[in-house]
Amino acid sequence: MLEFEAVYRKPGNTLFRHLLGTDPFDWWAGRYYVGLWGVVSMLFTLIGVAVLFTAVGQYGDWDLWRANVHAPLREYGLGFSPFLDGGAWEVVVICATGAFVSWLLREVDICRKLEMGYHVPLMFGFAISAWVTLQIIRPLWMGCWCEGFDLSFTGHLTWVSNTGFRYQNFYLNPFHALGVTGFFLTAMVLAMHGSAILGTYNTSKNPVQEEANVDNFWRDYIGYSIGEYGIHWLGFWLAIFTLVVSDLCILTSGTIFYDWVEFWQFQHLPAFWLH
Amino acid sequence: MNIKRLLGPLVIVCTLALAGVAQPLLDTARAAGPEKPVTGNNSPLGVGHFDRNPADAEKGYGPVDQAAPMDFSTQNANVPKTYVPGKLYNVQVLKQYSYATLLNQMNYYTQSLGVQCTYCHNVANFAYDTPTKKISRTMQIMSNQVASGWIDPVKKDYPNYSVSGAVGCVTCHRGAPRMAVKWNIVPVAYLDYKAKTTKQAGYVVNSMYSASKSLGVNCLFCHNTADFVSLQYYPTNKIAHRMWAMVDKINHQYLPANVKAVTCYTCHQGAKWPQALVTAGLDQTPVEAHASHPAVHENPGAHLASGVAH
Amino acid sequence: MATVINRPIAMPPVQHPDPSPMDDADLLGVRIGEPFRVPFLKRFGVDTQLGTLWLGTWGVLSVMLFLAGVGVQILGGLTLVNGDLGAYAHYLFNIQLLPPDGLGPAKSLAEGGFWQINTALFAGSVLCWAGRCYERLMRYHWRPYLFFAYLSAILLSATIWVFRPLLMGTWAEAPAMGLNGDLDWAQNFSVLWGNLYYNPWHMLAIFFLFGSTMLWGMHGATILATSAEGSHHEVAEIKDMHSGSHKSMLFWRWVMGFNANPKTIHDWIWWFSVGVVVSSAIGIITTGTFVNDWYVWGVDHGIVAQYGDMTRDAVNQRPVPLDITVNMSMPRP
Repeated sequence: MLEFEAVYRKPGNTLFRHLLGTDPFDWWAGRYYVGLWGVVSMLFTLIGVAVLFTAVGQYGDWDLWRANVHAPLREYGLGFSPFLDGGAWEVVVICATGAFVSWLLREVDICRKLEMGYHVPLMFGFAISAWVTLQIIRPLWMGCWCEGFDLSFTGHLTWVSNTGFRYQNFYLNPFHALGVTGFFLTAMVLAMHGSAILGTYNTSKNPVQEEANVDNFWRDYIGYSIGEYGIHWLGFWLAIFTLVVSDLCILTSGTIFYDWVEFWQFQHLPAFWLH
Repeated sequence: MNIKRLLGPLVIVCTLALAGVAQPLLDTARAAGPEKPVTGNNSPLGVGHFDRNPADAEKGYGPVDQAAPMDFSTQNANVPKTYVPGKLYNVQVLKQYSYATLLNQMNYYTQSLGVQCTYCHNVANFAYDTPTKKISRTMQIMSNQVASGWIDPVKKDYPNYSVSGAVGCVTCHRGAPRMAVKWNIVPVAYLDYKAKTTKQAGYVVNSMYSASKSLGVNCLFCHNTADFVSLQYYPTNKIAHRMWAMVDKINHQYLPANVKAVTCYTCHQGAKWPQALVTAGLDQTPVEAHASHPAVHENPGAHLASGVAH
Repeated sequence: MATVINRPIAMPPVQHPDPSPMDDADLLGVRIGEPFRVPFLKRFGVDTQLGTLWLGTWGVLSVMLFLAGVGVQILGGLTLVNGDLGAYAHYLFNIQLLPPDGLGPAKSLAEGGFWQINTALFAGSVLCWAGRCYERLMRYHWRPYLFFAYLSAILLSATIWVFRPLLMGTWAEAPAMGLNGDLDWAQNFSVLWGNLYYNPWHMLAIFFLFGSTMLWGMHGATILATSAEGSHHEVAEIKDMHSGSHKSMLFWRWVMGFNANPKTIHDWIWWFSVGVVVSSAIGIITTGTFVNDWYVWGVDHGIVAQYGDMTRDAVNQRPVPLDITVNMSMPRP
């Protein structure tokens, strides 16, 4: 345990206990908090990994990069498919989703224990939304599980490539463009924040001067200093924006729009300022 | 309720409404003026759209001037000065055809191109050569070559990717002497070589996009995008290679110099297989059947086929 | 029980920077404008003071070069539409200035001259901004982390626009100047060089990129969640941790068995964000020089399934009858 940890390790305050008055898993295993949701998450993980390894073993290729548990074939639509023709994929996706969601709920429990805001599980929820959108919502909307991506290292890259070209030029998807902008902006702002802290901690005996140095630099450099709280607010919301827009980019492809080059022809509508 | 907060959205809505109202008015104003050409070929601006212009009568490619005096000195030296109806003179490409079959073929030309006899012939002397008549010979040779040299081999090699029906004049012309030109971004010039730089790859990608729109498919129809260059195993990819070679040949060998390039769209017009096919090579349907068909425009050559002097 | 969205705490009072000999030595050393407050921003918890902005010689040079570049871009674009402003606005996204072929100066403005001028202007602008960055960092006695981060970003741009075209022997390998032009370059580059998804540095770069967003989500959320206890005063917390930092660290320790501290988390985020651009730069510079076709490279190194396993057609995933053999020996550029 860390030197200050003991005082924070208090039983109680979890969701389960709040609802049902008792929580049989409310304890720590070493440094890890267990909790009911930890057990559920572990179970999902073990089942999913077992199925994954079984499928990979039956396909025959154990190479870490090449191994491929592929999505169901189109002919099975939204139903269940035979194990090696996509059934394994379906089981692993269900287990993975279950594991992610219970991990999220475990984080909620820990937030409650530590009496902090729920920002972290909220953020994780948005991250899960990307997985769920890709593997569950979009296939449901498009009417077949085959639209999900293969569970494979290079296999899922091939899926990304093929899906992009399926809609002619995915770079012209405006949501994709916004998402890419979001990702790069996030990286840039992250570098700025990391540099700010790493560049100024322990540089001066005067803590007020240290903080002022940060503000004054940013005001000189770009005319605005967002503040210590503000930068974290910005990073938080930039990440959420990026994830939401990315979800939209894949959700609209193949459902509402089929050709992102064609999409931009709408600009040929009221162009009354031409000629 | 703070009215000032509504001002912004109100301004936006009004602007949009104004645009919607003004647009048709401006359209009518614009319709009076001449059409400005839109760039398309090779342009970094991207796709160009051209509309069919059947009334386009550029020099040498419009209907023959029937009033112009006939000149028998140079290229028409072997043509009889007096034309006798019912006899064949100066037939070069369709040499083996009988009179009736030849007239059927002429009929087919007029319907496929949506023209009258006067488009190619001086009707005082049908044997007299005109620029459009000479082009039609090239076109017929081309049509034969396309069918026997490219389409038939594809059908033989890939029976699962073929439909019955033959390519003919109507497949490209579709009832107009000048064909629909669309998706003609950088056709074949750049496919004579392999792209060496990313910039050149861009031109090829543009061509590929125009091909995919011409067929109404996406990239995955021919490609596995894991590697465009080396993965060329789909049958559609193989067929496409032949088609590109064919289009290249047509553009370089058969077309008049100032005609816009033929591309995939010319025949396919947005479908995987061209919709306008003739059933079996030449159209052999008797003339009478054409005349009685209500949908077909009046057979311009009927009175000639019956042998009646005009 | 803590609420989801914490109220932001009060901002410390504004301080104007102390005078400094570096500020005085600069020819254009002036802070423009008076700072003013935008109270609306308080509801987001961000600082409400806007301004002042430091001009500085480097900054002025940078902005002037940038504006000149924008001017050349617009001028060059107008030549593509024959001066028609309406058409320019209509085709705004598609207007692009293409680079010339070969390595020398372009034959004419239209055939790559505009591109070359533009590249030089924007390069100058970016480098002047780096000078501004370094100069301001030194004036405020910062360690130069920001400068090196910015330098690595410049490294990526320079790799794409300058170093790699030089290595490949032609400017035509560089992106065109334009909105869709840049996007098209990304597509064309990947198509020509065998699909960049199989480039391991591309994979690393994406790992760092998504990882950066993930870390930002984690760090931002953690600080916001514990800000009621002052965890956002990170510089102070590094010296002396209070309950906010304790909770941040314990949260992650209990969740995943590992935690950073108020200082080392910033090491993580700095290296992840710099890792994005550095991996990308390596990935770009090795394409076309050491590796001609990343898919073939992937197959050779066993990370990609052989074509035999890719016999399912990409959309319908039915087996397709393969025709003849995969043409691995296609002539490469």
